[in-house]
Amino acid sequence: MGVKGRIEKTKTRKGKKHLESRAPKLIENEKKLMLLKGHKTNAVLQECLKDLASLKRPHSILLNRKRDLLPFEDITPVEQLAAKMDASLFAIGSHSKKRPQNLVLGRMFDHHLLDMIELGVQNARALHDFKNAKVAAGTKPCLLFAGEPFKDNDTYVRLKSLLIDFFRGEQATAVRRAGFEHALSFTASQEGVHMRSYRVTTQRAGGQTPRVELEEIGPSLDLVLRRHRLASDDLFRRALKQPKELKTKKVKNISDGKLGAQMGRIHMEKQDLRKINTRKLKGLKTGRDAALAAAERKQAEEVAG
Amino acid sequence: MDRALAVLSQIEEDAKKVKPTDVEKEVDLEYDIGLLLASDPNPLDHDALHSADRDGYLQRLARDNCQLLFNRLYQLPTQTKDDVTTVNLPAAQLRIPREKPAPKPKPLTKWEEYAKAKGISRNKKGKKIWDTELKRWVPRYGAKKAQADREKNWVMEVPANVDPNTDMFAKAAEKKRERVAKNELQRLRNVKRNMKVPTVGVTPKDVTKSSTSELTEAAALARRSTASLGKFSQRLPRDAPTKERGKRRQFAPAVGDTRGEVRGQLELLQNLGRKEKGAVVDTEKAANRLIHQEQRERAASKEDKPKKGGKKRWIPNTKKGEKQKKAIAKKAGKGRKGAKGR
Repeated sequence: MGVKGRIEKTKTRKGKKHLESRAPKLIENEKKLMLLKGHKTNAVLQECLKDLASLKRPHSILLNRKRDLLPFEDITPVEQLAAKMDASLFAIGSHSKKRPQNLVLGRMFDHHLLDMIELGVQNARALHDFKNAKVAAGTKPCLLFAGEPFKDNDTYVRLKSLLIDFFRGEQATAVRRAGFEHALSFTASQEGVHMRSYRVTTQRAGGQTPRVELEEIGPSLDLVLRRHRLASDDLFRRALKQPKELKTKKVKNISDGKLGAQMGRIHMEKQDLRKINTRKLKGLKTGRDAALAAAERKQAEEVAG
Repeated sequence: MDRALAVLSQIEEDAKKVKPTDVEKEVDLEYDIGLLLASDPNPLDHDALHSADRDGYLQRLARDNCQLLFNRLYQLPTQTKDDVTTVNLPAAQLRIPREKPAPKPKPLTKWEEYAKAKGISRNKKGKKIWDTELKRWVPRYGAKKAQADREKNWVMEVPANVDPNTDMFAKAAEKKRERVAKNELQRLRNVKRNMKVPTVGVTPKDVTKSSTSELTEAAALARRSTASLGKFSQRLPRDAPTKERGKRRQFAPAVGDTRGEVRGQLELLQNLGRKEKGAVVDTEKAANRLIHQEQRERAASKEDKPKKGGKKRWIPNTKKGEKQKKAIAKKAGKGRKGAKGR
C-alpha cells in the first residue's frame, strides 16, 4: 500500500519522508540496533552495552530504563519496542545469579522475531580500558571468523550470520583504499566465541599489497553460548528473499565486436506485409487514376455545358 | 667490487626490515569481498588458546587473516579521483536476511492505467514558469506562486453576463476549493479501489448508487446470515437461485460406466475383506459393537416389564407422598378414561 495508499494524507513533507523511510524498500536502510537493559544489570554489562552502541553509532539506540524483560518467554514487548524505534537488531543485557552477565542478541523480520541467541559475557574489557586512539564511527569493518564450529555447528553458523548482520556496516559499492581501518575478529573454540576489535595500520612492503599490523582498541569479549531461538527454515528463507528488481539482468544478443564496436542481434517478429505503415504518398493511392479521370470528365462537361 | 657488495648487503638489510605480506595457511580462507569477510576453516591452536597469552595468539591469527583479506582487496580494480583512490567492492555473496519484506508494487491509479494502455508518457515539467505579465520566473506551485497570483489578480473584472455585485475573488476562491475537494475525492476513490475492503455487507450503502452485482451480493449475504446459513430463508419468486457454497460432493452418474462401476464394487469388496492395511472395516470393532448392541437390547427388554406399568417414581411414605400417589393415580385414571371417551 505504501504512503500514497493511506486514507489520510500526511500533512507535512517531513512526515511523509519519515514514513517512506520506514516503509519496506528495495534497498534497505542500515539495520538499527536497539540496546535494552533487563531487570538487573551490573557495571560490566552496562559498559558492554555502551560499547556495542558506540560500535554501531549512529545506527544504534541505547535505552536506559531497566525493563522486566524475559525474551525467551515473551518476546512481544521487545517486538513492539523494535517496531516503535524501527530497529531490526536488538541486544538485551541482564544479570542474574542463574545467568550472570547475560546478553541476548537477536534480529527481527517484518517486526517479528527472526533469530535470537543468548550469550554469557566473560572477561570483558571495555573501550576505555584500552588507552589508545580509536577508529572513526561508521567505518566499515573487516570481519574475520576463525574456528571450525563456524562451519560445522548449525547454531554457530546462524550466530556467524547474526554477527555479520550486526557489524557489517553500510552497504557500500566503493570504499577508499585507505579506509579499511577497522577489523573485528570472532574466534570460535569449545568455550565459545572470542570477540576482538582492532585498528588496522598498513606499512609499505615490497610488493603491491602493504603489510598489515593490528592494534587492539577494544571492546574485547569472551562470549559463551547459552540458549537460542532460531528461525524455522521457511521463515528464514522468506527473510532471505530478495526482490526481483535487484537481480542483475543478463544482457542478451549483444557482444563486443572485434574492432571495438558493439554488435547486436535483433530478432524480428513476423510482420503482416499488408499492415505495414509506410510513408503515404498521394500519387500512389489506389483509385487515384480513376478519380482523376472522373474529375476531368466532369470539368469537360461543365465547360461544354 | 666493494661497492657492489655494499649495495647488495644494503638490499639484504632493507629486505629484512620489510616484513612479509604473504601468509602460509593449510587451507585457504573463504572470502566474501562484498562484506569484507574472511572465514578461516583451519583448526585452531588450542594450546595457545588456553595459555596465558591467549590475546596474543588471537591477535596474531587475526593479523594473518586480515593480511590475506587485504591481499585480496588490493587486487580489486581501483579508481582515482581528486587524490582519493577508491576500490569497487563486488556484491556480497552471502545472503543476509532483510529487515522487511520486499515492497509490493504500488497499484496503479485509474489515470495511470489508462495512460499505460494508451501509451501516454509524462512530460517532465520545469519547476518555474516564465510569467509574461510579471516578467520573471514564477514557481509552478507553492506559496510563492500564490503570492505571484495575488500580484497579478489585484483586480478582477466582472463579466457582462454576471450580476455586477458578485464578489469575483470569493468566486475564484470557491472554485479553487471545489478543485481541491474533487482532487481529494478522486484520490480517495483510487485508494478505495486498491484497498480490497469488503464494500458490501459491512457498512450501509446507498441503494440507488450500488451496482446490480453489489446488490445481489448484499442480498445473498443477508440471506446467508442466519443460524442455519440460509437453508430455510425464504426467497422471492424472481430471485436468482443461490450458488452452492462450501464443499461440493460429486456423485458418479447412475447409468453409464458399467465397467468402472463393477471395478469399483469389486475393489470395495476386496477392501472389506482385508484385515490389515487399507482395511475399510475394522472387524473387531464391528463385532464389539454388535455384541454391545445385543446386550443393550437384552437389558432393555428386561426393563420393559416395569416400563409397561408406567414410569416408576420413588415416592416417600409420608403424608406428602400419599398426596403425590393419589395425584398420579388420578392422572392415570383420567388418561385411560379419557381415551375411552367418557
